[in-house]
Amino acid sequence: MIQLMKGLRNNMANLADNIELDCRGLNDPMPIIKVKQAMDNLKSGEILKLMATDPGSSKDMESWTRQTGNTIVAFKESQSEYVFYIQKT
Amino acid sequence: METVQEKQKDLVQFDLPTRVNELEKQVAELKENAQEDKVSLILFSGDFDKAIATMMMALGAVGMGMECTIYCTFWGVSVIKRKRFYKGKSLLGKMMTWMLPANSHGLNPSQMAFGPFGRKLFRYMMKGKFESLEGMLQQAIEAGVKFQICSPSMSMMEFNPDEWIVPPESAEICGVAAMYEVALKAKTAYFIS
Repeated sequence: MIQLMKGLRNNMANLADNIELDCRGLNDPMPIIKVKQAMDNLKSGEILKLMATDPGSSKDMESWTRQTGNTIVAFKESQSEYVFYIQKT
Repeated sequence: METVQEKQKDLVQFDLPTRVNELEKQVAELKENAQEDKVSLILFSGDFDKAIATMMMALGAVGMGMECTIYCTFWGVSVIKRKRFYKGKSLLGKMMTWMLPANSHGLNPSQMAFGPFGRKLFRYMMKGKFESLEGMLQQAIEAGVKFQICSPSMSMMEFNPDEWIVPPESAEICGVAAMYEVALKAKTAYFIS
């Protein structure tokens, strides 16, 4: 288990993002719109790093990626701040 | 009207090319009637809180990669108003215009209105945390949300086509048939009353 966690953390550290999107302090529909706009500018396979503080965002981004066909490659939560690495398919 | 099963039972007596042709026709028909990735919102209410919810739903739909159409009818027309126009209206029309809010800043919440103080309270509470109603409306227009304006309520309350804040390319005046065309093709339709 610990090894797995370590692996994930390493994975997280090695992840290079192509675009960073800061949605801290923004509430409900805004992060989704911003992510959509940012993802439209990305090429397939590129990774977006999203930072958000909206408590619904972890569930929201799950649904969003399912609907749009993109994937969350890594997720981190610390002190009511959420970080997502989303890869465009 | 015969069902698809009945049609297919009848088909058995024909030869193969006829059957393939008939099936292709049926598939094309089904595809034409299939639902698309669209959301249809029917905004009946002119309340501040319901307008906020509508704009959030519209923006969310656009964010999820769906098309969205908002059909504004009756009090909902006040949400997309720019200013009051009195010219060329009858006395009752002028009265209606005077009684209704001039633009979305005059919308009251459906509860806790407290005269004009409720809307100020809600706007104060949303400030800095949420996008304002006008900001969300502007974003929705930029994101390509289509607006339909109910022609019966337009002629009844004597609205003027110049009154809308929505640019003409994303707004159209239409009746219930055009609304149904959109709503039937959409995956979900909401009536906000």
